[in-house]
Amino acid sequence: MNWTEWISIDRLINGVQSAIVLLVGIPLLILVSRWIGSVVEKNYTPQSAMLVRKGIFYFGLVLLVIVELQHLGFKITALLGAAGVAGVAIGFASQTSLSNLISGIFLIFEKPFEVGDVIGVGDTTGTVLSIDLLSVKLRQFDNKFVRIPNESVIKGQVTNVTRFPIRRYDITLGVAFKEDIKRVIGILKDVASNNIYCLDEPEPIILFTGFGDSALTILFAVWFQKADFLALRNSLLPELKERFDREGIEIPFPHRTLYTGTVTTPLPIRMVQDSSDNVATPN
Amino acid sequence: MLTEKDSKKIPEPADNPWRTITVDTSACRRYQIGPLKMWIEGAGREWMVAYSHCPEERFTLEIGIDEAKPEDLQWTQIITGAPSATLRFVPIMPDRPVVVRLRNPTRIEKDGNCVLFAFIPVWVQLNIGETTEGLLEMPTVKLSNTWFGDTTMAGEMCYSLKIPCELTLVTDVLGPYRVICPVRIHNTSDADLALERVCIHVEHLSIYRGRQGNWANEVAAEYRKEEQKCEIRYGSCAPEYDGIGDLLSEARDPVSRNLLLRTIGSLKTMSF
Repeated sequence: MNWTEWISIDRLINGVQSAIVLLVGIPLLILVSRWIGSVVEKNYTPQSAMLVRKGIFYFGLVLLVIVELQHLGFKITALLGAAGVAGVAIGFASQTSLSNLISGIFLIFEKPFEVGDVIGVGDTTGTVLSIDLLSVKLRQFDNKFVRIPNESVIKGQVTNVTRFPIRRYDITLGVAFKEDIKRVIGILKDVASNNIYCLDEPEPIILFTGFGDSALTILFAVWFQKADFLALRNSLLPELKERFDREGIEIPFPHRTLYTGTVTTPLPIRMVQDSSDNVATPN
Repeated sequence: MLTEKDSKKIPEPADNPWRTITVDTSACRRYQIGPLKMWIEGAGREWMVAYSHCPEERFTLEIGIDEAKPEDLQWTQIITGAPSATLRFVPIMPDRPVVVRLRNPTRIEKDGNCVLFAFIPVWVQLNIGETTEGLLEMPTVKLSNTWFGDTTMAGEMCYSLKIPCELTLVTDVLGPYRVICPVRIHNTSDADLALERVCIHVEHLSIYRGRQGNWANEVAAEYRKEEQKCEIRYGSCAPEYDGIGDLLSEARDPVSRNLLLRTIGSLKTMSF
């Protein structure tokens, strides 16, 4: 094809017109999608708003490009045919992306979490920033940005920490064998009752779980409003320690007893005074 | 219920904490309403406010001047639009519903009715000068949180009141920082109604001054078991028990129509 023959005044005018339409149309599309997104956000979730925003923008963009290509004289049917052939080749080459894309669609419809939820995927925990077609973006608590491919989210176990308005905080406690369990349970109930972040209902769970190696073990589980997690941890644990100290309840550390075969006879140790360096040596 | 026409002017008690105070110096002043202690320092347009709760209750507004400003408290700075030398404390209801237990589990026979009296500790709204919207709100009593709902997945966050509600009016728990909230329950179902605790949506209640204490408008609840619903009516003025005094504060979220709320019969609880 001779390009100098192909480029005519009409085509140049058409090209300029298309460029102007695109230059005006794309910002207009952004504005319209943002406006509709903000309207949706007022009535629905931020995630729905984001989906609507992106859906309107990409759909509008494709429509705009097709219209402009037609305006420039391209045959769309031929282009679509070529795109179909290219699609097969691209599909083979981009299996991972397609898998992520399909996983993304499942995630959007299944809604295991929404933008703003705190989720755990594998070892990563963070706040959901966006749920896109290819990946989920998280902000970790130390302000790191994490991108997790949708395929990994669908395949793995996801924990939504903030799905429900209240949560339970479990503390496993150990007290010395000599302690009176009933008294300890009474003290735990009192500590929970006096902490404003512990919910009165559902009631705290206090369960004597058994005889450990060095301590009697107790499960102390209190319910709290999800937003109070840090405040509860920072208040309840010091209050427990303070109260146990005040009441003389011993929190034992692991003990190890050495004996030489007879339980009642202690390991014989004799102190010997050495005149040269004052070192005691066992017998 | 009395109407505004029948109302009698109740004289303002001398120890009434809900009044305007003129501040003539910028020294750090201490006020106490019930267990709530407040420190307010400033003059003109710039004010500093801090508060804490103490175990000793005061039933009147205690005023003192502290030589040294307590530094271990969290201070809030307030800058007003216009210079002022007056402070006003206004009682308002807590910002969330309050769950109150009955002293003993109670059964109300079919077609029976009763009145429960709950004693809700108010929040203090601080106004400086002509401000009426409240620059700072402080609870007189730190109430613990509780969950009110069928399951741990659906329900609402409420405050929990340690003092149980009574079937007769008792005055030994009264103080200027507590509001008596009468709840009239009528069981129109064909079965007995077992009740252990009630959830009162205090955000719909106003506060009035009475002779014996401060009062909230009466809540009337009609229980219908077949629908598992309760029709709630909020009185539009002070209840008839103690005459009518001045309106001390409007409800945070006034409702003029009757509400139809679902009750949680299985848990022996009712929500108003």
